[in-house]
Amino acid sequence: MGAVRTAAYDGIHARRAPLLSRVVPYVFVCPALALLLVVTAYPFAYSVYLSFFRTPSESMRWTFTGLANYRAVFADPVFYRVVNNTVVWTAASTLADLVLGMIAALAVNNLRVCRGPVRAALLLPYVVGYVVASYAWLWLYQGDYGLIDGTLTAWHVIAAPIPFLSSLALALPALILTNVWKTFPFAMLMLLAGLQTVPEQLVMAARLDRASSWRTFWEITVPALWPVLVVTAMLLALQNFHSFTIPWIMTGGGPLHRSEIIANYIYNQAFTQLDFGLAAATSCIISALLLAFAVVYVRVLGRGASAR
Amino acid sequence: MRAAREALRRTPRSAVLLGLVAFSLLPFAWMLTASLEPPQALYTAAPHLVPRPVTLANYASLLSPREQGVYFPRYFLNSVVVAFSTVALALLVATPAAYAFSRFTFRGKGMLMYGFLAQNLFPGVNFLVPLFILMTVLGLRDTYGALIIGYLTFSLPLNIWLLRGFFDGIPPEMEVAARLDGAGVVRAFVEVALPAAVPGLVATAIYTFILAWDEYLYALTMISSADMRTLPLGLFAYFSEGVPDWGGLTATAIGMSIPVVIVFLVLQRYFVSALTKGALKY
Repeated sequence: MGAVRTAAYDGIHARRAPLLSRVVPYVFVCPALALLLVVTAYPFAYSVYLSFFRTPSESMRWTFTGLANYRAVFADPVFYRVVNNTVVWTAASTLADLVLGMIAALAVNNLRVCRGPVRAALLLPYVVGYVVASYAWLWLYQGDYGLIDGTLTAWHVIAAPIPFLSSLALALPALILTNVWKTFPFAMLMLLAGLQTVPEQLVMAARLDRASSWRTFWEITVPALWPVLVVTAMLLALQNFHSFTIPWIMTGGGPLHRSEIIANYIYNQAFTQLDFGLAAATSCIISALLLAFAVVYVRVLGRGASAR
Repeated sequence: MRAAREALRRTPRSAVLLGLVAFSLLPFAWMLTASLEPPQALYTAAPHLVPRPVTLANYASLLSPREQGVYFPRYFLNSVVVAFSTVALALLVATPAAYAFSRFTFRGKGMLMYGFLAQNLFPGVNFLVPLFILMTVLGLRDTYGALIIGYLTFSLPLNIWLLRGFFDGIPPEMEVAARLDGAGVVRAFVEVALPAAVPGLVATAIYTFILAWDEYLYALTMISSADMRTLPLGLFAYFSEGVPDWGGLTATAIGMSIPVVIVFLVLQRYFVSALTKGALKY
C-alpha cells in the first residue's frame, strides 16, 4: 500500500521536473542528517579512535597504546561483576515487565467501567520518569522511617529494619523492582494495543468449546500476540540494558559494585577515574555486542516475516 | 501447576487490578504524605499514609531560595527552556526528513533510515565522552546548548521514526491534487501535508517532552554550576548535608511531576498513540 502511494506521488513530480525531484528528498533529509553526523556518527568514530589511546587527565597529550585499554578492561574483575549484574538486571526486569504488563493489559482489556482512569493510573509511573521513580523508591526503602521497613517492623513481621539498598544480596533486586515499577506500563500499553487485534471470534469459539481460560490464553491469545510480544520484549530489553539513572541515584552502584550496571561503569571510568580511553574501550565492546544483537534481531524478525 | 491455575481462576479480576493500581500509586501517595508533613511527624510516628498534621511549609519553601543553594524556580525554568527547545529543534529538523522517508523513493533511503534508527541501539553513555570533549572545545559546556544538542541523540531518531509513521497514515491524494494544481513540493508539504499531520506532531512533541524533562545522564555530565541545573539534578541538592531533607525532596519531586502529569492527562490519547504506533512499526 505504502509503496503504491509513494510511487503515485513520486510519479507526479518525476514527470514534471526529473532533476529537481531527485534532489528534493535529499534537501528534506539534509538538516537531520547533518545533526545525526554530529551527535552519533562523530561520537561513534571518535570513541573507536580514543579507545586506542592513553588519555591522562592532567594533560591533553594522548599517546597511542594499541589494545592496552581493551586488555585493561578485560583484566578488571569489576567488569565481570558489572556484566553479570547487567545481564541479571536486563533479563529480570524485562521478564517481569512482560508478565506484569500482560496481567495488567488483560485486566484493563476486560474492564467495562473506568477503563480510561485505570489505564491512566497504571501509566503514571512511566510518565513521571526515572528520576522521580528513583527518589520515590529511595524514600520507600528508607531503613528507619521508610514505608516498607517501617510497616514491616510496626507489624512485627521483622524485628529490625532491613537495609535493602546497602545489602549485598538485596540491593540489585530492590533496584530491579523499582525499574519494573517504572517500565511495566510500557509493556501493558503495547500488549493492550496488541489485544485489540486478537480475533474475537476465535476467543468466542474457544469459550463455546468450553476451553478453559488458561488454555484459551496460551493457545489463542499468546500466538496472536506473538509479534507484538517479541517487539515489546526487544524494546524493553534494550531500554533496560541502557539504564543508568536508577542505580546511580539509589545506590551509586554499591555496595561493592553489587548493583552497578554497565552504563554506571562506563560513566565512572570516564568521569570518576577520568580515563576517557578506558571508557571508550568499554563503550566499543558494548557497541560490538549490541550490533551482534541487532543482526540477530533483524534475522529473527526477517524469518518471522517470511514464515508469515 | 493445577493449584496455581485454580488460584488464578478464583482470584477475581478486580482484585488483581486493584493490586496493580495500588502498586502504581502507593509510591506517589507515600511521597505526597512526606511532602505534606512537618519533619517531626515524619521521623517519629509509625508509617502512615494520612498526613497529620498537614502543613504546606515544604511547598512554600520551594519558592524561597534556601541557604544550601536549592532554587526550585530556577531549576524549573532551566528544565522548561531545555525541554521546549529540545522538542522544537527535534520537530523542526525531523519533520521534513520524516516526510521525505514517507513520500519519496530515493537512492540510499533504506541505509539512511537504518542510520537514524541505529542510534537507538546504543546507550547514551556511549556518546558521552566524545560529546563532552566536543562541547568543551566549542565552549558549550554548562550551557543549555550542550543539553539541547546532547538530547538530539535520543530525540532525533524518535521524532523521525514516529513522524514517518504518522505521514504513512495520511493518504497522499490531497498532496497529489495540490501538485496537479501547480503547487511546488514544498508548498504541498507545508500547506497540505503538515496540517493533516498535526495530531502526529502533537503526539511526538509530548513523547519528546516527557523524555527531555526526565533526562539525567547528559545533564549530570554537562552541567557543573548550580544555577544551570535542571530539575532532575536539582533534587540531589537535598542530600548535600548528611541527613536528607525528605519533606523538601518529596515536595520537589512532586512539583517536578506536576507539569508532565498534566500534559499527559490532558493529551493522553496522543501520548498513547505515539508510544504504541511508533513501537509497533519496527
